[in-house]
Amino acid sequence: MSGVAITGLGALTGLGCSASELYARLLDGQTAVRRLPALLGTALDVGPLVTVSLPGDGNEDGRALLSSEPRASQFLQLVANEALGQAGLASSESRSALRIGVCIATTLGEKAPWLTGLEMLSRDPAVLPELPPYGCSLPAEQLAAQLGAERVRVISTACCSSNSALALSLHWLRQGLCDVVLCGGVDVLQPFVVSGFRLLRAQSQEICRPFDVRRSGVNLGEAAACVVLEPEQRARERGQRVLGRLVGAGLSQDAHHMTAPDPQGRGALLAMERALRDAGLPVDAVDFVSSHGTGTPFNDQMEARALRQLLGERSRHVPVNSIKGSVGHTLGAAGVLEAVMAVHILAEQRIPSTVGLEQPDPTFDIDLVMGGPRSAPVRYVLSTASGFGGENAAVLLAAGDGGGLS
Amino acid sequence: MVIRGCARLSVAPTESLSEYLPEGSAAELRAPLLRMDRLCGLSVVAVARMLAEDASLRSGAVGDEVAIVLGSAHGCHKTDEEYYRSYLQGQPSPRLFAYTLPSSPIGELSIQYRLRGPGLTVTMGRTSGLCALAEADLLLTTHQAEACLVVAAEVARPVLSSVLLQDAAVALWLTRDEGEPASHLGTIETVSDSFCAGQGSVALGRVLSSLHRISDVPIYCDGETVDLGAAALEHRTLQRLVVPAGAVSGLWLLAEALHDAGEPIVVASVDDAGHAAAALLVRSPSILRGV
Repeated sequence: MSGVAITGLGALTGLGCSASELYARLLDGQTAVRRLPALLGTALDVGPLVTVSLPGDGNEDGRALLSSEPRASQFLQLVANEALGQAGLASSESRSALRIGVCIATTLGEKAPWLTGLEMLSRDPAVLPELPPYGCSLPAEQLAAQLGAERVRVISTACCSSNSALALSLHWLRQGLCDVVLCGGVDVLQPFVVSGFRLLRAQSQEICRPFDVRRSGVNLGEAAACVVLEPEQRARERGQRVLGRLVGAGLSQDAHHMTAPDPQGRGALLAMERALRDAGLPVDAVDFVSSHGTGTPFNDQMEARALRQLLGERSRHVPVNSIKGSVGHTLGAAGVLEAVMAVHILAEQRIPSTVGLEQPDPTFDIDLVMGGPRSAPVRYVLSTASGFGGENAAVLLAAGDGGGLS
Repeated sequence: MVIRGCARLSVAPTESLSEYLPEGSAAELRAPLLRMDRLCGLSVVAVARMLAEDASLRSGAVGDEVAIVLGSAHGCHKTDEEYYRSYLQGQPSPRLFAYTLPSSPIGELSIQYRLRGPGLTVTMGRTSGLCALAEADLLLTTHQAEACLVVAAEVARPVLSSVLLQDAAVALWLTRDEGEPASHLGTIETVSDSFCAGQGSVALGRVLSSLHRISDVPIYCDGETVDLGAAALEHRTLQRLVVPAGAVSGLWLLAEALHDAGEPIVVASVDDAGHAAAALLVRSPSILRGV
């Protein structure tokens, strides 16, 4: 099946406020995972987290998490601006003749005002006449309104929401339903989700260690990321450089358990196989795997099994990384964020290492990138994600026009 | 896209869902139902009722090839609220937290019916149900699935009393239209949707103009849709119905229309905030039995 061109990238993470900054710091082995000073001694001091600090917002210590200020719409707007600017679509004139689609992944949306309202009501039922809007689709709707988008979706399939949104965007473009799609993911940390992950004992008390024998859970993080997608011919006609290509996607469900993945990795494997089939590529085409790699005992074991089954003997030679030890587990933003990294890797041929990984679990038997970045020929990247409820989504990305992006 | 099965369910917020389980599946679903939150429970019961109505639906479908698409405007807000209250009271509930995702129903449906096809959850206000149908159509058209279970579900709460008065769910079983004469409830020819900030009627007009050959086709819509889209709907035959609100409205209208129509119909919906609209054209609808 035909792929679509990626002509713009945007990323906002604990490692910086642009896509190129993210990639440079990933290559440098940096991490934004840390205990947040503002949370020390509070009920939210659940272990290391990742927060995003914008210039002048004073959130270096993570105080935004306590204030529950609405930030998701702002995050999404910033990454959309970055991606649209790179794609030559920053001005309304440049977009006026285009049928624009907006496909946004999120697990929480802009839920902060609603949660604050609940908090106020729990103290004094008379204080509010009614709750603020639930807010799940608010960031997407605001962005869509600003862009004059005609087709808008908010996709929420737990931690694989972003890859699901990429899959949907790919099919929209293949079917000619839109001329350009802005596909993004956003999630902002809130007490709601931080407390929940602690309850489920999924939050690590140290920096997370994807695929390590000592792995003990995730470090939650907040982030936003966007890509601009369009048919390659349209990008050429607009004189836009093709940064990379989205060439296949596959979705699946485990049918196993609401909070634990299928230990055999059958659902994840199905999604990977479907992505390859969708792209019309053999498994040998996969040169690198950007794994979900959350650092939980169950996820990493399941994912390693699925990769071994998919890659066979090549599993010992196809590099695999996880960036969760650098930017945290960014929930609904994770897949698009990893797609942004993948486009850089395809352009630069350098793979960031898995921060936090020191002693690979010997039972996994996959080629984990650790101890520093690795140079390797990469033509196709397989990016995987799985989430609560047994949702899985995998996407395949390919190189663009060549040349570096940094 | 062919509609092969359909069931709908409207329940008072205080009623037990297990009372609505069909006889054949009551024993196996009663215990899981106790574990689930209300949104999941509504979805599972609606699907159980649909499958009880026509057990042949699943006979030709391999679980790996069946997709599930959920549309919900307000999703898991009830569970979110209950979880957050438990957190504020210093006794957060892990059981509740596990259901604080709008996609929980597709996980539960996947588990209960061993379905491993693609799963999607769409949140787009009142149009979520019809938008879910549009994405189901895409999954079928692009051969990512051989059959698709589409569910719209909403849970009422006092804080949403101005929008939702009752819990409701609609389930549909869809396959590709391959022209076979096998029994079906109707053929969805087109699903179209649009977004226009603050201009629901503009979005609706755009959607209706994209549906071909509908000049004399009755349009089924709910009260709110008529109000917002009066200009766009002028001169057309309107069937204005009172239906459960939220994402359920579009699919409920569809079920209602199938029930009494024997000719092509259009079902239209505009979201509560008046930004998005969606509509679909059904040709050769059959008379529905018992829904």
